[in-house]
Amino acid sequence: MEDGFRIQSIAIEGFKGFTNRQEIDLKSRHAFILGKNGNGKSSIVEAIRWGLFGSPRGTNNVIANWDYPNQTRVEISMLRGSNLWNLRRTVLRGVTGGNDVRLTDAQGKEHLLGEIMPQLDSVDSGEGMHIIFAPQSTPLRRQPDDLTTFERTVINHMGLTHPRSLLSQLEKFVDEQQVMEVSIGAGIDEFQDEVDKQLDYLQRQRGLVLGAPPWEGDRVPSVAESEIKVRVLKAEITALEPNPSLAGVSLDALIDSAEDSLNLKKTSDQESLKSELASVAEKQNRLSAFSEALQALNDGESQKQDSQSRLKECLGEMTLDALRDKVKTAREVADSSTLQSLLVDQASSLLERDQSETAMCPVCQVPHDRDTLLNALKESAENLAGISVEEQSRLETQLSEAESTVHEIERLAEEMQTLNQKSNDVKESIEADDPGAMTDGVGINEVKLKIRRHEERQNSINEQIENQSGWIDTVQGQLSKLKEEGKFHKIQKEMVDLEQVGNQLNKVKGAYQDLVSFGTSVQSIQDAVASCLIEQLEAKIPAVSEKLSKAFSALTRHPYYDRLTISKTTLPKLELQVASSFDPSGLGHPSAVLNGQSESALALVPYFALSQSEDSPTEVFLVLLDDPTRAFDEDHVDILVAELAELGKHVQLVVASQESKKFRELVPRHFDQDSYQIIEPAAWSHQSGPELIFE
Amino acid sequence: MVESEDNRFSDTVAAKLMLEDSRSLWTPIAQELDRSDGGPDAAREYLDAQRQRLEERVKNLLEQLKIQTGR
Repeated sequence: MEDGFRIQSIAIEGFKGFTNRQEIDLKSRHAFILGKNGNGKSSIVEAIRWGLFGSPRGTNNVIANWDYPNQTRVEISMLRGSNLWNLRRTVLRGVTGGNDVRLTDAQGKEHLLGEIMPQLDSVDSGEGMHIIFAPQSTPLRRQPDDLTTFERTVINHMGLTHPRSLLSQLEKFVDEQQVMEVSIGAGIDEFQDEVDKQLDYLQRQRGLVLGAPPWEGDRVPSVAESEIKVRVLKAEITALEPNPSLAGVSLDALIDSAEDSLNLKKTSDQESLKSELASVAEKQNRLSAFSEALQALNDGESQKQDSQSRLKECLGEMTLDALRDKVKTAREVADSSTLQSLLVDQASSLLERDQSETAMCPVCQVPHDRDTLLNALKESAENLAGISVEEQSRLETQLSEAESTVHEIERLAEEMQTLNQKSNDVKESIEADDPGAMTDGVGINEVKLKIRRHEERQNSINEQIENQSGWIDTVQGQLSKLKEEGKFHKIQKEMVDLEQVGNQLNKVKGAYQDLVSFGTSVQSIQDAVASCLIEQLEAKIPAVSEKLSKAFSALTRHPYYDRLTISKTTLPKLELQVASSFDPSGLGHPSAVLNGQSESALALVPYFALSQSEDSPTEVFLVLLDDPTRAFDEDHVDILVAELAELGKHVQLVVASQESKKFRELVPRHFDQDSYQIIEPAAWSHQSGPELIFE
Repeated sequence: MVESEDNRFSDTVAAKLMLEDSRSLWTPIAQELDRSDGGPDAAREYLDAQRQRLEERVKNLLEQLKIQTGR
């Protein structure tokens, strides 16, 4: 064991349950740490492992005693050959995951760990069990996490750590590669789909334009030709020469510029014409109103004259007042005559009733002959006719007609006054807009002439508006066609651009194919490595199985299952199977056929089997065991201690167990007295940690 | 790996690789394994570096294309 070592002493401070620095002096002997649970047995085993190898990143927080204000440190002094070395590992408090390791020689001179110590590696099952050995190859920086402890132990023993680790790495790599290829491939496909869709769309659009080309003839115009057409059209719209400042402007921009000019012209021209149209219409309305007023005045004057004629005809030579007097007189006469007539009638009636020959005259009160009175009354009655009813009626009618005509004349006079005022107002407003338009005494015919002229003007303006709309529609149509031409050119350019994109995408696909080819090559290498590894495993398994079987048989003394073998069907995965010499082909899974004790013993088998062998390719220096006898009965504890003694001939042992009594009884029986140290963590306190008793 | 076993294992793997691409890729991997401070971790790092280079090339080309086309 030139490169090997033996632990001379261990010093533990601030580590897990430990507080103040405590030293364990071994002097190359084995250590049996015996005592109750919870007093620090496992901590000592773990301290040795941590002192040698440290912690995976971040777990220094787990092993440091943060209630202890000072440092967390483990010192291991080791004898290598004839040289004494001190390995000191300290947790860097305040720095997460860090620790400081120093290796010094007997003179206190510091050395690099890697230069002096043999390459150390550890196979562990987490807490408790460790084999410390010198591997055949560079220790792995990261243990493959897809291997069980058993696999790691056996693989190490076979000297196949690197090939197996390489295979684990390749398997993971290939898995990651496949995921990545799918992801990147999907990204490329998505991009390709977008390009294809865009190209498809452009081809359809191009087809639509070619199906109904906006240009004349069969030949597709060039971009320059389309630009010239737009410039010429714009010049027509603006009535200006083509604008040189538009040189170098894109076709789309030229079309937009022409359209803007057209919209501007359309708006300004139409506004101007509509404004003039409104003005002319307004003037016409006023003239019409004036004309109506004049006409009404003429009509009124005519009616008034007619009425006056009728009045004159009605009155004749009389005046109206004379007529009124005449009618009044006639009424009075008529009234008197009426009364007298009534009296005569009454008297006549009386006389007729009176049959006497004489009668008193009611007037003179002289008796007269009745017949003579009757005749006289009749004659009076006849004389009272005076004015006839017909005459009176005629006079009444005449008067009524005359008065009615006078009222009509007065009404007409009022109306004409109003019309006159109105026509003067309209005339003033016309004069205000158009001075000199309404000369004094302007007649209705002149006004109507003016109205006709305004109508003609309106018609002319409407015609202009219509003509302009037609022109704008024509130009708009030309612009629309030019837009279609522009669209076609744009489609062409986009298709050319897409073709370039397609070319560049091919480069991407080429690079992707390189990546895929790389992955395929790695897969091939993985397969080759797996194949070679399996071949080597198959060659080495029988020998290993034999060793495992011996150790298993020695440890368990199982009455039936005495064979262990590694399944070949699951390679390179190592799966242990148990069998019996009585039925070597009847292979069973350990958990299916073994009891708890045998399974516990099985966990120890690799440590025993692979540590003792003299032809082992790996050199084992140290075996750390924590409570190896869980579930063991007394007899098997005995067997175990005997096997440990055998193992201890080759390696240094550190064994922690709660089976104090049993170990105290068995260890002296199997080990030389000077070859071991019993340490008992007797009690534990928060302030001082475990109390260690050395026996 | 132990030098002689290392060579043997590398050689046996190489013998199983049929394609030129695989053999070409295995050579530097084997060299990483054979280095005194090498091993599977170093081989993995080599592969990671190669893949990263290839992956970045694809992604950069695609990204450039996306930027160029405004996608």
